[in-house]
Amino acid sequence: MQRNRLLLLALMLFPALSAFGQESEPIHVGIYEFEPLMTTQDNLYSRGIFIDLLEYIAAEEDWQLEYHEGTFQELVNKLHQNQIDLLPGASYTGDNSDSLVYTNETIISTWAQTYTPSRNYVQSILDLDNLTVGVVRDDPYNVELRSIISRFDLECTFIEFNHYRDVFSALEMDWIDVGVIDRLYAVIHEDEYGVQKNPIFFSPVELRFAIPAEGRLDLIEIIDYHLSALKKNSNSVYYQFVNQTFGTASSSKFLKYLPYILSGTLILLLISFGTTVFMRKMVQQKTAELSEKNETLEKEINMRIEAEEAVVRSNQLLHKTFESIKDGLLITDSDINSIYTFNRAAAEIFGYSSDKIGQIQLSRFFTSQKEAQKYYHEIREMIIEKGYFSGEVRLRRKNGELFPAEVAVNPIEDSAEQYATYVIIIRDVTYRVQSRQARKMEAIGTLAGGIAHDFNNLLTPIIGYSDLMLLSKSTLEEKHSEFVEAIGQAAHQAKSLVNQILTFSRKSEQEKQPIHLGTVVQSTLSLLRSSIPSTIELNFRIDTHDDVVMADPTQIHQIVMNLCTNSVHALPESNGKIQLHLFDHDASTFVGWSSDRLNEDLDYVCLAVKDNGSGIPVDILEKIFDPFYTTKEKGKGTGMGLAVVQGIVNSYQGAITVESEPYEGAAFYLYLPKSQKSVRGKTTRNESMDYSGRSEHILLVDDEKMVADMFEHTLISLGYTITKMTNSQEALSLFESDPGSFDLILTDQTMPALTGAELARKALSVRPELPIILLTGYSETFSIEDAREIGIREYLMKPIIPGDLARAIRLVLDEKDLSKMRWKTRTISPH
Amino acid sequence: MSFFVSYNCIFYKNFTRFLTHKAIVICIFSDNMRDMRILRYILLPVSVVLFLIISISMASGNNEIILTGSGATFPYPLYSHWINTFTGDQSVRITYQPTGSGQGIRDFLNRNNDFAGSDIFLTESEIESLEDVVHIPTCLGAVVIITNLPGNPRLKLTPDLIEGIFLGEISNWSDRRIRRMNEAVNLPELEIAVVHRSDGSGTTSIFTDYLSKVSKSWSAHVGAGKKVRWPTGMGISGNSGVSALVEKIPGAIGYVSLNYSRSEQLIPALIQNRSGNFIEPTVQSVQSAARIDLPDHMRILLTNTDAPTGYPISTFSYILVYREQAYGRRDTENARILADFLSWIIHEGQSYNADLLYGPLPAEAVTKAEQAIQSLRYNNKPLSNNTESEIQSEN
Repeated sequence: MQRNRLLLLALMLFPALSAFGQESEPIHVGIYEFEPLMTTQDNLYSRGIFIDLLEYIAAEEDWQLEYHEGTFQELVNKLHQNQIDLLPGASYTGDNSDSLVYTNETIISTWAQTYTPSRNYVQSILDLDNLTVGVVRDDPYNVELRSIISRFDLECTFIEFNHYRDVFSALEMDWIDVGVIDRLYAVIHEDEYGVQKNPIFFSPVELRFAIPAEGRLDLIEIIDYHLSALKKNSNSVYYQFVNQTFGTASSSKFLKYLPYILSGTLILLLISFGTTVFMRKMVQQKTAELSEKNETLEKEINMRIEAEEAVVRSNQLLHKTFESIKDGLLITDSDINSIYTFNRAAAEIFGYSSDKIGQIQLSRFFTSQKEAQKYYHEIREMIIEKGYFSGEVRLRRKNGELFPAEVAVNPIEDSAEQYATYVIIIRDVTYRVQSRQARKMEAIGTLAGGIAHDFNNLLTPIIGYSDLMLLSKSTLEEKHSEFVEAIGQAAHQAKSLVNQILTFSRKSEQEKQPIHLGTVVQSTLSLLRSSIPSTIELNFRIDTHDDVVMADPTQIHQIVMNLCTNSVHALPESNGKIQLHLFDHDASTFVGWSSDRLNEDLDYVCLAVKDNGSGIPVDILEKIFDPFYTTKEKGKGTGMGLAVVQGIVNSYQGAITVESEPYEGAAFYLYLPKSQKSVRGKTTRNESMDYSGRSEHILLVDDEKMVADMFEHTLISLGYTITKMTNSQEALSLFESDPGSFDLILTDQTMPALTGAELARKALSVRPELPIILLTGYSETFSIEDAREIGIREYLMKPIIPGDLARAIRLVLDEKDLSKMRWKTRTISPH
Repeated sequence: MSFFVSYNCIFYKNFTRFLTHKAIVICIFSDNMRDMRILRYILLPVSVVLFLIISISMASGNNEIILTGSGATFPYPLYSHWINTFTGDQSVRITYQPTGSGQGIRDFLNRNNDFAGSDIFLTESEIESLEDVVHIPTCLGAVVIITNLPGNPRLKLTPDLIEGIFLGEISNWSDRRIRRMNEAVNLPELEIAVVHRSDGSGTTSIFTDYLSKVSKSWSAHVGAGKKVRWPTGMGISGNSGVSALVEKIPGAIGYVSLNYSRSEQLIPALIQNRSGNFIEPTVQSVQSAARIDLPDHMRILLTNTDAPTGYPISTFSYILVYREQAYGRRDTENARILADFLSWIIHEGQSYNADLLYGPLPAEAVTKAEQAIQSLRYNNKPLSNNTESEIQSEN
């Protein structure tokens, strides 16, 4: 008791003291519009429970109050900045998050209550989605509801009003779907409007007085003291204010039922206490469980993030690998036709740009639809059998060019174990096939050249002697003379075959000169016309004015004859057509398959030879240029035709391609580089010259005795004096012993110990003006230029025809201009 | 652009889900490196997906010049159109976020963007040296007053009427003062419902600037700004929100920018200007408002214009750029593209203004804007000559 009395005394003294100390300083109070608890309008009977209470306390304590108007938020800010001392109607939420100091006593509790127009109803916050919500602009509930709505990820249209009454009006007018009203205002005014109260309410707050954290604690203590005293007394001003605000009627009703209400409340409180304790325990337990789960989840999330990063890294690696593979990779649909994706190499191989290739149907890469069907069949068969396809396939680039490729097709099963996609690996083996072909040709060429050389040596005496025998016909019997002629003919045929082999192996010497390709082809065709059946249609079209090429007309003649003859053999019995077409080449017309390559810096003229014959099967296209490859019956073809054509074309730095569809004919395209030289006039040949000897002394050197004998006979019969030697060393010694006695040296090139060229060099060092004629078979290392350099006047290739030899000797001796001769001995160089 | 971003987001979400699934597969794969079958079955599908993603992200642009802008919402439809048209055939990406003038200016002052869009110009209190900032006017806009009245009449409003209505002093359409100005209109006995913006807005800023100029009472009690304490009415965010609410509430009145008043039901009111003429808000009357002497710095408000045929609530919209372009990670190319873009806006770009209900710049403003663009520098050197020569050739 005594202690209580002392406390009361202290409290009574305290305000007096503090009032004394603060007399000159008014208390700065923030007020805001918060009907019905507070109003900024000072002309009314009551300014709301907060201000009325505060003014009651101020009167008791002799405080001076100074009001500062603002919005709730502005005033809270001012409170934090110590610009006001006290804020009535501050919402106390129980935590210390706003770092303000509140009174212990709650003046009143309230919350936000939602209303809808009378006929509408909303059950929960989620029902607010897409509705128009009316709120009061400066109301804390405005901010709170916007935050709730955004937390629930809902979309609401907010309309801000200045007063709760405007919100009620708007609800009544149906301008808004939902209105947010403070429950205290609503209790008083809801009956005035045709509105519907809803079960949604939020932001329950206890309204108290607040001061700044560093503010005047004495204010709080004094207010708490008064409030606690007022609340204890049911007749106090506090309850009067409550009655004034919320109506006496309800208040008296309230008092009448108070005992029942109190006991009911007590029971409810006990129940709620019990429930609260129980719930709290449950909550604690659940919270612990949740936090444990949360940790597990966090760990799992981290693991997943790490795994995802690993996957991204590994995918980057895989993607780089995919792109850097030099083989073309295509991934297609289950029909192996639409391309899902591809790597850069695939686009490059087929010559499409990266953005185009994806739109191409795979079947377009085959040479024809028929081919595509054939391969699709093969691919599926092999996949069924082995699980994958692997093989060499001929494919077509965008520019029409065909190329050989190694193709692997691997199916990928989807979850249903069906082949959903296919991975196709394409390796362009053009280069490999080309070099394989080139090596093969080189090997055959070397072999054929060597054989041809030996054949020439053998043919030389056969032709020579048979000619000799014919020269002395009178001494032969008529029968023998026929035999000799037959021998000579066969030998000449053999010589021409050898020449063909040499031409194919590019070892023969050519006589290249600028010619009009069109003219030469035309003249060949007029010859050909007479030798093929008249039912065959033969056309030639020239679409270029610039058809000058460096070529040997004889060889062009041979090419055209070979190609046309092949065509004639392939033609059907009726309606056969051979069409030749000469035109300027541009890159787009390089079609068909070829192992050759064109030089991009040169201009080409193209000669196309097309027929409508039986065509060439795709699988032999690669072999048709091989020597001795023939599809004709045994004995009907040598198999050298196309090999010779390719040999000639290649020696002109040209190319040949072929395009063929079985039963639809074949087309050969010859590309020859254009020449800027002008075509010379026709050379005339003096056939009536006399080539007989005038007893000039010739030193004849050949290690092959048979050949040497044949030449000796020939030359003696022509009227020359011959000294024959079969050993070149001895021949040189003989010459050196008396250089002046010889008018000419005729020597073979290939001899043991001392070659013809060395012999010539040594002889010329003694007698520089001495005419020397070198005879040679196929020689890789010794060219006509080499011979000229040494000073050798003439160079004849075996087999030697006596007529040629006679002419050469005569011309050399007579010091005629050799350049006018039309034989192979002419300068090859166009310089 | 926004489509692209959202598309990417969705894509990324799905892809992440996909990868999580595939991660397990990859783990198996790495443990059995020698098993070529697994390699064949896994490597390629994963590569396919990855390839698609990479190609999509590549398509989104590498080595692009990217310019970012943010600010005013009012010219946003026009800026979007300009950006699409300008960047159409160039490897340049320009983005503009309609964050509101206030946020745009904050970004600009923090040097977080390449340019800011603003309906209001900077004042000396906002930046130390105004010399550093170039204001390029880009278009003319207007704030129009729309009403929801039976028969959709074309109202005539004086400054006094507007002030009275928006202060809440005139609260019914049958008010004598309104009738006197609109004798031909059959005005109903209907409460006026004022609709205003609840969010910070350049439109509000221009409208309240106008009201502050024509009404002392307004200036004293409410004032001008992007967000003010409206004495009456209801607030809603966005120009489109205001026009929707006015359309919904009979007797409503609100203000929106000219380009949001296309609806047939919302006939903009004629407003009496300083010369006493009632002016309809059109692209032409907005242009007339700008036919006044412009200062070289072009920081001028057109509200309550002197021009006799000018609409009184008109405004320039500006793009703000720094005179010295060497800042942040910007290189000369960024600066040059920015200058090209600005130059394009004040020349070619102007042809799109009228269609989108923005006023094209008057010739004087174009000339002054040109000079301003030419004054841009990078490390104190003029930007590439072609910008200037283009301008000269157009002259």
